[in-house]
Amino acid sequence: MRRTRFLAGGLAAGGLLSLTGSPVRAAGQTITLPFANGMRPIVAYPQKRPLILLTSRPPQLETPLAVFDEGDAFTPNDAFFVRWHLAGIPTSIDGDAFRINVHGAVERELSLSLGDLRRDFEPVEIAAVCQCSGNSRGYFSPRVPGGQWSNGAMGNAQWRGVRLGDVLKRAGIKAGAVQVRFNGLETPTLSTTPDFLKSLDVELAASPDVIVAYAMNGADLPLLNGFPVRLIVPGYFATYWVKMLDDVEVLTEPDQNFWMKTAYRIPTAGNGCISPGEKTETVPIGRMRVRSFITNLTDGQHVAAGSGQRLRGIAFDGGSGIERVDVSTDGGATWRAAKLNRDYGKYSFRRWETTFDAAAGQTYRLASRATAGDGSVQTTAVCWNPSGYLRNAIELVTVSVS
Amino acid sequence: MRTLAFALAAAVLAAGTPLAARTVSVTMPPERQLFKDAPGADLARGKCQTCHSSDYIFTQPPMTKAQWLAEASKMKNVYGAPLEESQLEPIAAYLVTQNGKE
Ligand code: HEC
Repeated sequence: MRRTRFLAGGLAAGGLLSLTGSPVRAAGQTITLPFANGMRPIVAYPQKRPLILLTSRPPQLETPLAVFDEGDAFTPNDAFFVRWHLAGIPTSIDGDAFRINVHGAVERELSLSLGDLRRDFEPVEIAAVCQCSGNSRGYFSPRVPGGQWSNGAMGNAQWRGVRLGDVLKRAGIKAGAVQVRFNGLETPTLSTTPDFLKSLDVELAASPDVIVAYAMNGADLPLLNGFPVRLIVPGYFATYWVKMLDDVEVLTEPDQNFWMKTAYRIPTAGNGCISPGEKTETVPIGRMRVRSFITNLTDGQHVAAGSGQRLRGIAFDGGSGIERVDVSTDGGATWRAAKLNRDYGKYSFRRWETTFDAAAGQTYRLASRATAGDGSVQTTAVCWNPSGYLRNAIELVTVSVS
Repeated sequence: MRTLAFALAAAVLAAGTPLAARTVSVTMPPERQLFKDAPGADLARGKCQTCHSSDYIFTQPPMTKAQWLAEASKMKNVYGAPLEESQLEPIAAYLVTQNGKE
């Protein structure tokens, strides 16, 4: 059940819901996410509007679900979620001095300035969803340790930059290369903690949709989202979208570093979803699974009676595009198709909308179910694994009509 | 690939002026200090907010002493937290008073 209550200044009083169901969000308030220890302060970080604070060092901020109901399919930069692993994040970056170093199994080592990126490579744009592997971890049952997110560790942006493949072409990948490893300016507090490094197989790294982005929704990236450049791996979970990317290394052996070999792995059994206690082999997490959310109504909300009540939301998957979204008002007993809004490409949020008739005194168990281009479809089966990854079950929102 | 031209990498026209590289500086808000006084608090304050703020611990689900022991051991063995083996038990005993369950 997803019941989100918004509490003012610590008062356990009634929720502050505006008429549209959008939560009132101001710094100094708190929000209580619907799981144990779900109370979170609302705090404004630099270049950000007040967001849900998960941890303050390193900064981890969650986007309130109502933001996904604003405007078009894109998540505003100042509301985009923030997730870092290590606390050593530069708070000042000189864009002129910044360089991306490309080295390892290459013909020519490169040291590229931001000017070089803009001048020497073809600029490209792509709309893509960035979703934390652990998005929705707070809903796992039994609970698992890790960042305790509700559903707001995701966002969709129009990214602009250059193809990583073009950069690799300029460097010249040598025969025998198997992976490309990425590092950013984030560093551990103590040198005993493994630095945050991520790797992609060389074919994926060189594929045309993987880009080194220097702009997000037409503006610089906020520092907390990886200014000045970030790796964009459309369709893949955000763990690979290395922020403040300053180092690209072509490897001739599969990467053995902690963040590939031990962390961010999913069970090979059960398509990644297993029972608590079950032991299986693991592989690095990869593509996202199909998901959808209702964004204009929240669980427990009262709506006015009347036909033509609006019901709308978003859907996305791991890169095959959204084929259809069905909605139910009876908890999944019956379904009918919603209208899909503008298509920004197969990696983007796809907005959908429909209406339903709300009769006085009734309770409606609303749900959305997305089907992706590859035929995968959301079900009521709830995924569990010890790291809290891959949740994509159909979500229920219960509203009553006054 | 059929959707390539549409979905991927539409070339941006040279029209838009590229944003200039520039310096960005930010100041982070003060962090939260959540460890409450109880036996073991000094140890946790000294050892468990070196690499991250204490809210990482308080936003976890309530955990048993055994689970907190496993977390503290993970911090030592996986992330290299400078902890003596003998400090793990007292830390777990304290954490279960802060965010614990039976
Ligand atoms: C040497 C650095 C370091 C120290 C000291 C440290 N931690 Fe951590 N801790 C980390 C890192 C790194 C992460 C998060 C990694 C990530 O983002 O995935 C983390 C995450 C956590 C989490 C989140 C759940 C998880 O397992 O990822 C908890 C809880 C936690 N630490 C508890 C503690 C406690 C309790 C102590 C004191 C005994 C402690 N930490 C001391 C580095 C440290």
